[in-house]
Amino acid sequence: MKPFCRLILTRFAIAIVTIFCVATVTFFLMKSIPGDPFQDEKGVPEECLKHLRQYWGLEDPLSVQYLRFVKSIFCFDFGPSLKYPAVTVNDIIHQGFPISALLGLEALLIAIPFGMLLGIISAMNHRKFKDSLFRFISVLGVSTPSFVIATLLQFVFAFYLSLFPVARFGTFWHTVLPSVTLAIGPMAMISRLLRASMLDVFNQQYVFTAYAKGLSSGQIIRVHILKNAILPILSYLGPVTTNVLVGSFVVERVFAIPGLGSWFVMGVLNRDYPVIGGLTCFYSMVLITIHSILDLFHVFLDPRVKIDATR
Amino acid sequence: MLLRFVGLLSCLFCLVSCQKNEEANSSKVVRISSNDDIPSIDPRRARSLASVNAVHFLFEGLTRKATDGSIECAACDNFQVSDDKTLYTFHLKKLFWSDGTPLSAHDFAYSWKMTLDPTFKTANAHELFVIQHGKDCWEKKLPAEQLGIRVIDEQTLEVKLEKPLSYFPELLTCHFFYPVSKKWFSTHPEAKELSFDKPPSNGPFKMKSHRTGEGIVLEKNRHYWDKESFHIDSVAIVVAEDSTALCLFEKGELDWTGSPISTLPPDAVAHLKEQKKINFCPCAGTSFIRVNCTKAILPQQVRKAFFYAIDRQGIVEHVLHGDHLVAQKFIPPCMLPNVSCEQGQIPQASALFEKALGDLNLEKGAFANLSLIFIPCDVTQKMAQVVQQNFKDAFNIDLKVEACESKIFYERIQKLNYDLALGSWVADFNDPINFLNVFKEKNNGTNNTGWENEPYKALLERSSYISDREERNQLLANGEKIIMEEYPILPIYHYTFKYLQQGRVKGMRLSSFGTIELRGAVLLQQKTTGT
Repeated sequence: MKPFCRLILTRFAIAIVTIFCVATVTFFLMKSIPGDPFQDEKGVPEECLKHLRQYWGLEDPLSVQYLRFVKSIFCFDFGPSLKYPAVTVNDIIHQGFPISALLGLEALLIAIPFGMLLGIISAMNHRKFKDSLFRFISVLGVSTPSFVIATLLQFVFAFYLSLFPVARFGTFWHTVLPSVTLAIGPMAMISRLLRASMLDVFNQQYVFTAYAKGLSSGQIIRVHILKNAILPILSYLGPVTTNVLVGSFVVERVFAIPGLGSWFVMGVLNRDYPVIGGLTCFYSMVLITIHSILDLFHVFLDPRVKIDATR
Repeated sequence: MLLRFVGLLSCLFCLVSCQKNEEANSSKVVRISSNDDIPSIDPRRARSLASVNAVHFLFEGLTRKATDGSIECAACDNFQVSDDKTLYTFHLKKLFWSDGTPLSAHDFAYSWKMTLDPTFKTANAHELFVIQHGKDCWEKKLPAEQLGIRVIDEQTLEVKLEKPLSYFPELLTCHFFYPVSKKWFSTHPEAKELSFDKPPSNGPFKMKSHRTGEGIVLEKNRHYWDKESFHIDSVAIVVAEDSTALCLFEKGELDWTGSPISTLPPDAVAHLKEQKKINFCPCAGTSFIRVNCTKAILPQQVRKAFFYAIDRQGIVEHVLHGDHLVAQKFIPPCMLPNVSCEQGQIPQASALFEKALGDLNLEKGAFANLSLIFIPCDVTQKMAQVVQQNFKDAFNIDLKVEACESKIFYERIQKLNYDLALGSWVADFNDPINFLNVFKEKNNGTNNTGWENEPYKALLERSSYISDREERNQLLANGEKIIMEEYPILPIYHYTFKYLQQGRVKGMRLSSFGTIELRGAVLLQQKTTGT
């Protein structure tokens, strides 16, 4: 078998085991949180609660519930939500994920090029004014929580200046502020990472050699520095891409976006077991897929990483 | 690479945004904000106010509330009551579902029988135990045929009650007595409940579209019998978090925000009041503190002292910006006025407490771990702090305040694993019994105080046999007095609904039970501005 195929097969096997582990941990964690999914402020009589729990199979032994849950993952059919019984978890994913993913892609489209640009400029102007300025901006970006950015952008650009719609989803203009909010954190982080790794590469001998050969700065950066400095960003992009693709609770709440992000939190608050289980598994599937893709990129970009080494 | 990415992005955008925007023509849509998605539009299953409001737009029962608050016939033309007041015969109007199929007595019978079917999952089943053998059928002690519902013919429905219930016509205005189409379920055998996918409805509106997390859009039901009273073509319930909803309202993208199905951000209330934008409406709801009556350190005398110590005026003025009513009794005055209960007076609290300690041989140290639990939000947090301070001032007790996440809170009060707990009750229909039944039995799911009182139960039983409103209210007032002598709860304030409404909507009203009324409302065709 070709090493490349073997790599993909190994990855696939590892992915299945990982998802299985995630599902098991999630299942037992969610079952251990106190609280009943059907109790509400109007008060439900004990016998009604028992009926509901029986109907949804929550009175069955934990092992039976666990097996049912594992089966639902392999069939990718998580059943209806307990709080919103008219929609299934698959509906939630089907309707919410494209919206969250679109915002996420827009955010990446902003974060990666601009983050890299800031990082390169910072590194090129090491310890100069531009470097300090961009570092200040990126520290600000990394440390400002997204609910502050979201509310601030909403107030200034939508409410006060009326440049964009305040909230909700519909046209391209509705997506601008949410994706900028999503982009700011990763952008700042990318610029910091790239600056640090570029400064490392700057001191490598092959860079001096390149300068000595009389290559232009642009060429050196593109061919010799960036290609080596980009590796830490690649590993950072794995979790970040997943996070922005599946949506953020805060951004989706503030901008009233019907995405997937708010379901992660609402599911736990409502003790909506199918939603928690289904979305966690979905999240881990997305995460593993993106990680695998990035690992392949890594192999192509860095000749030191041998395909065999990933076995 | 970049070009490809942009291409991919634009393709994706086209895909996502090609879903039709159903409320595009916003000039004819009334847009109402809700801070939660609509869990269900099945009348048999609706629980949250958002659901109840959606159901109320979509369906209608045998009776409805008239604009003056009285009860009038809706789906039925008239009804007769037998002499022993347990047998109701309803003669239905000739009606149609929104899909054009005829609505018959079978639909009502089917809907109610399903609610009481043990295999049907709903938390509302107990609401229909008033029907003869309702509880026994639900508990499978009797076959479903024994249920006190009989279809005489297509237009006539007979309902036998377990015992006389003078407020039964009032009760029929509640969503759990609305019908669902039997025919629809026979053609959708896999459906366990009404889906959002355009099920037939018999109310003023029908379902147009739904998107999870975004809300629902309803349009006028051309088959509705009283469609002339409804001048609004379409209603949208928009899911938006409170402060986002306020921004959307200010921008004219919402017509109604605030009570009943979302809240105005507490920090914005003072400013909005100054601008005279807020509308107020009395709510048939009361906020109170539940006391765990099973605890040895919390007998009646101590509970009474606690009731006296709470600074209600302070809470209403400073925590609630003066928008709500101080509550010295349980039932809101808009529902049962003129009941004289003992007024809590702060200066006497300390003496009452000392006396109670002496009588009961209790030490102050026994209260060292006394705690008050609540579901954290801006208001409850501050209220708990005020009560904490009141207890410190009056009794020199350090009350612990403990914020609990909602599901944990419900579990704790249900298992009586608490000392004091903030709570509230909002009525479903206009009868004081709705409030008093909350504490009728220990294990009815709503009580959660461990308090039960035989004379109180007997009095409530007796009240359902009395049909004279005055006499009944007098009896129920006595019931309320028992609660206000025993203090299983310490009332704090009666709710007032607060909402914002655009000037372009005229005649939209809010009932004191939290349902938005669109009957008679009109949309003026003008550019949207705040009121």
